[in-house]
Amino acid sequence: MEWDFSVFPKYFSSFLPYAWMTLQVTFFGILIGVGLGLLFALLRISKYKVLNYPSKLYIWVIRGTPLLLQLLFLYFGLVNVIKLDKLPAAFVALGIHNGAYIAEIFRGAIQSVDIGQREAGISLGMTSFKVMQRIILPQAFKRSVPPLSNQFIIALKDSSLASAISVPELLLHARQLGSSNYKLMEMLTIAAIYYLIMTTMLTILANKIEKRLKVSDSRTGV
Amino acid sequence: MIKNGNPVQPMIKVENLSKWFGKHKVLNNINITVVPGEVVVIIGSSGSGKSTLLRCINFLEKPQKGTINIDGTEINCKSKNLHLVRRDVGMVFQHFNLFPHMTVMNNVIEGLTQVKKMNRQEALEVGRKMLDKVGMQEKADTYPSMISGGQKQRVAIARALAMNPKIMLFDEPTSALDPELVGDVLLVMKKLAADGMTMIVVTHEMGFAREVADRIIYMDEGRIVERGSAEDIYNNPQNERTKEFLSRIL
Ligand SMILES: Nc1ncnc2c1ncn2[C@@H]1O[C@H](COP(=O)(O)OP(=O)(O)O)[C@@H](O)[C@H]1O
Ligand SMILES: [Mg+2]
Repeated sequence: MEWDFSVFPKYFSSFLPYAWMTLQVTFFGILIGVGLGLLFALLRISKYKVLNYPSKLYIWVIRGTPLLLQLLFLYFGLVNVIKLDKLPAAFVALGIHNGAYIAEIFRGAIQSVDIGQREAGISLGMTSFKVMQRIILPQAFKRSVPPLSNQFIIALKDSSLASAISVPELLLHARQLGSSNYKLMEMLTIAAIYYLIMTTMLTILANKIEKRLKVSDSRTGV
Repeated sequence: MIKNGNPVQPMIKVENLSKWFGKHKVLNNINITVVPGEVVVIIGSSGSGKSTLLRCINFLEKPQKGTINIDGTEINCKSKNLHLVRRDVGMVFQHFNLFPHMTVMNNVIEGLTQVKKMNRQEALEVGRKMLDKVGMQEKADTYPSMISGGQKQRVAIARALAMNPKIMLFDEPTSALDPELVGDVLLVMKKLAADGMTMIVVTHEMGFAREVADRIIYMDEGRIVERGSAEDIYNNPQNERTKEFLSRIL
């Protein structure tokens, strides 16, 4: 197989709008995922058992089945129940998928906050809700940053599965171009470069945030 | 209950209190009455139920039996709105439990702004007064991890005091501190006692107990086995267990 480097400059910039789409799918997937994750983490640790079960079921089903299946299920499988356009379907599917992982991340972080913190808040007369909002969550969010940034990078790469329901993102573009110009390997390589740029930037950003938190963490010995 | 010749409504009245963790009976029919301004020191070996007793008094733990009466309000294991009762009961923990993500000042005013809904300006004023009281005003803007254990505990006391509680509970407030830091914390507590605060203090600091305790209670295996003045307990214990315990800590 021969590599044709001359096609790189010609096609490289045509990927830009598709990279933008990849970013959008990732962004909304994460946004919905963080929302669902927080909600289901709180349900999961609630002292009311009835609230634990839906959360356990959600996490069990979503983490136990492939994202591609979830995506197809939501887009094609539910046509009779709810007809979603491909873009919202991708956002929601990625959101639901990430939500299950993020719920576990938040749950772990919340439970890692010392029980004495809760007791100190409670003994000031705070309600459980206030304690969660003012004392526990701010500390838990901070501890969630490293596993969350890891999850965000996974989400970015997973957004490529949206090509299966023809969302015009990077991978779909690469494959479509490749089959029309017979330069599939080159087109995939360009897509790979875009992915690498985006994941690298995300990693750098995450490291920066982590470093900043570590500085403020040196104040966190209590 | 008679104090200074007048009948006084007790500030704390604990009646027939029992608490189990699973099958383990941790508190066994406890009865205590504390009048306003009284300082009660609780001693007893590790595991005897001292912390659990304090935690029951502000309902961090729910006892299965008995009643607790705080300044005329009776609470039992079915009571709702416990958070309202807890405002009146300040708690100081062995490990301080300051909020690490807030400055010293914000720790102190957190209860004022969030629970009492005081506006920030007013709260800061109270906060400064409280920090002044414990000698920590200079550290108002630092974070808890930047100050010593003794300073943390003084901030924790200021945080509890800011809520203007009727009662202060202390659970071994100095036992996590380096010896040279204990004195400052005890001094703050002595001032508090002199100001007339009603206090229950779990501590083995005998100097403190002799100086400020109106009564000492010795607990063993979830029971109160002996009570009396500091003189009685330290110099002339009646119970064999008390004697044995004192010989170990003296
Ligand atoms: N949350 C809990 N669950 C089960 N057992 C507990 C719990 N807290 C305390 N205990 C037990 O209750 C007993 C009394 O504990 P505690 O009140 O902490 O004693 P002290 O403060 O006098 O050392 C101990 O045997 C301890 O192991
Ligand atoms: Mg204890």
